[in-house]
Amino acid sequence: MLLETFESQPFLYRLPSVIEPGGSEVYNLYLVTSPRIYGEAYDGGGELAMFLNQEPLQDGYEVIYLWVQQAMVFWPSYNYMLYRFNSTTGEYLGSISTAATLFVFSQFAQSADGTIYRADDTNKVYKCQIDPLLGVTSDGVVLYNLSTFAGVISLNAFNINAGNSIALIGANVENQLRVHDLGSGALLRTVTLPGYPVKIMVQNDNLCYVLDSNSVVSLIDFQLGELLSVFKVQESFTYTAGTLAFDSKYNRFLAWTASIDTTGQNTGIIIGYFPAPQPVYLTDPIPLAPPRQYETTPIYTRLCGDMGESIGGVTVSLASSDTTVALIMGFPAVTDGDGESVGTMADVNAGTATITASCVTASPIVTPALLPTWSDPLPAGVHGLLYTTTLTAYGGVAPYSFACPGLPAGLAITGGSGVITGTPTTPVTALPLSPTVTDSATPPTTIFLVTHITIT
Amino acid sequence: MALELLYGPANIKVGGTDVVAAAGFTWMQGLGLLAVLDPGAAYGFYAVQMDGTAEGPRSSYNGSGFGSVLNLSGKQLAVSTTTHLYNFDYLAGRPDATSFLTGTACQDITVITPDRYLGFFDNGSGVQAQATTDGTIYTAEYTFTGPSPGTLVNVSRSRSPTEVCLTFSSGQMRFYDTTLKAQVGDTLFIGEAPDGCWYVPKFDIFVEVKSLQIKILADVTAPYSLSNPVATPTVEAGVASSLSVQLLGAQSEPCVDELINWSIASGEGSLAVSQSATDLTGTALNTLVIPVGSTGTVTVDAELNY
Repeated sequence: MLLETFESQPFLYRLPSVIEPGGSEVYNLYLVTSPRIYGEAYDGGGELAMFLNQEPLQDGYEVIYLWVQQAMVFWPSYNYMLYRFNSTTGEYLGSISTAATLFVFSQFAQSADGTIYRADDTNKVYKCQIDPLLGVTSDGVVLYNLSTFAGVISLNAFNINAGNSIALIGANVENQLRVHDLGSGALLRTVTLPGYPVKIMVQNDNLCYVLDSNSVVSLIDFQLGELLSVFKVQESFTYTAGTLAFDSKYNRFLAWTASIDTTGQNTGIIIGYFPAPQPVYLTDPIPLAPPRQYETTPIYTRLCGDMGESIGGVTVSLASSDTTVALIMGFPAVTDGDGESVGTMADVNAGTATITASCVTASPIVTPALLPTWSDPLPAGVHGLLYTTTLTAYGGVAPYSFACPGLPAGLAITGGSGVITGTPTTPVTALPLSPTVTDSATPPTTIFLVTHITIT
Repeated sequence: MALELLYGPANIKVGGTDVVAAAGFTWMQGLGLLAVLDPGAAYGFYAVQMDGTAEGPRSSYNGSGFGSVLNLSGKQLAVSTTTHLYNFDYLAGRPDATSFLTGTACQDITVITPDRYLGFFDNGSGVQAQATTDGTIYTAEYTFTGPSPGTLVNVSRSRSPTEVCLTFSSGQMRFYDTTLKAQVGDTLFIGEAPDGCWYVPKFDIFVEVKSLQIKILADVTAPYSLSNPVATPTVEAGVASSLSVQLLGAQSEPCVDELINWSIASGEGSLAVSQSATDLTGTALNTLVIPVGSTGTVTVDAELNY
């Protein structure tokens, strides 16, 4: 498994669906009216894509786009949506409908410089762009024709490294990454993979990650043709259940998954992962030499990931069930580059003692920074009528407390809930306010965000 | 056991479940014992830790029809079929699609050195190291001496980049230097017929697989018998006598660097030291002095410090 770095707030969505009797893609039927059948579903049949695009936001300049093909309410057609997220916090920002034609029988890849490429079912490659209003667009100009490349039988995954004039290709009949020259199409080299590649993510001009059919991500130097390391991907983010992208700016993977409930309301989450293994197993302590009375014995342990990867730099402690028999001397010890640690045990007397090992691996999840999420302006009110709105926030450490000095006469805020309510007594026009939110961290963080209110 | 057991036997497990089939592949420092395992559902290529817990799989490779080949000229392994050699990427857990050597007897190759391929088998003159450059014609370069080792079970890396550790069906382990083209060091005895046994140079231990279980063995012969003390010259009053005991393993191999505790159980006399270590022959020495005029019987105890 990969080491998690952040997890977004869940966002709610509702997906109407074409129902295919017995189909595995149908979740959660909620209405059946022949011949129209409605259900909750999303089609994850390899037609998911995740992109990063630079757009100015108040706290950053990156937006995560998640493209999803979903079934429409008007049977039997489909809808194509781009979900938008704040790439810093993972906050759900909304969705855009986008042109369906680009996505039918298409595969997408995003290069290390952010360029989005699309390959159609004839292996022709086009350049795409993301428009915050129009969604994904393409000028329809063929940049490359991968079908002319030697040995490409059926394109299963691809990416472009234009700087080095390289095409990275996975075909679904081989456990290989194929490295081709973009100009001539010549096959330069191949790299053996654990499974057949389903997604190729370029980190820079030398390195790429390849997600394969065994839910394993391989780090590959495609210039040398060498496999450098492998990581298993969390089960929920395999290519059939979600999607995975590589954010080369922050050197992390981004994954999306759907969580289906039974009420017709679904949720999705963006999770970030370091390209590093998550420690999952510490071996039993093992003596490396025969224990002898009154002598010391080196004791071995190893900390590893779920592919056997080494976890270095972690402190391991040993404990003896009877310190009059076996005394722990050389621990705590820190795991080395192989994930191994060796300390010593003193055999102080005859008898039997049980030695146990333990280690603590701190949670690496980064708590999102405290972020006010109220709008500017606040909803308008009418004097003499009841007014209610709620200040909200994201990140930090809940619970929050809110304050909003200078409210129009007749309005008051409840600090614990952020609810502003009351009956305003006088009109105001675009009255500036500086509400604050304070979290429960130690020490607490307080953030203000200027907004305005109008009472007519 | 002839080599002393440090840990195990422990069942090889995947996700807490005992495997139903296991074929050891090689020990890879920083990963574990690479092995093809069947946890009951399907074969896969796993990394087995020293306590028997397997992590993976990294591929669905099942090893069918392939033999494991140790490549001393690079970090990669190789696998053989009857007529081909393929590079094997242990990270991917798969062989390359195309072979790099074709010959009529590639299946006999078990080690790749920078200048030749080696096999270890009996061609009628005893077990020999046989070299080939084409996977077809082999030339004997060394014949192993001593008790017949049986057939080769597996090969692993050893104490130097040019040395390999050979595990045989008899339970013998021998070290072969591919540059000197000769066995180096003593023959070790596992004490049973292993399914596989690999040397771990970083810790000077062995990892054995037997009947779907893993065992960790010390590079130390397990003490099996300790002789009674022998005095030279014969003990008598006023004379200093040299005492010796010999500590041996189950195959009569010497136990080296073991501490022997000495004591006078009864009678008059003094010992030069209370503890001494066994030498390369498994012999520990002491000196007994009987006072002038002393009579009666002196009993000396020698015990392994265990």
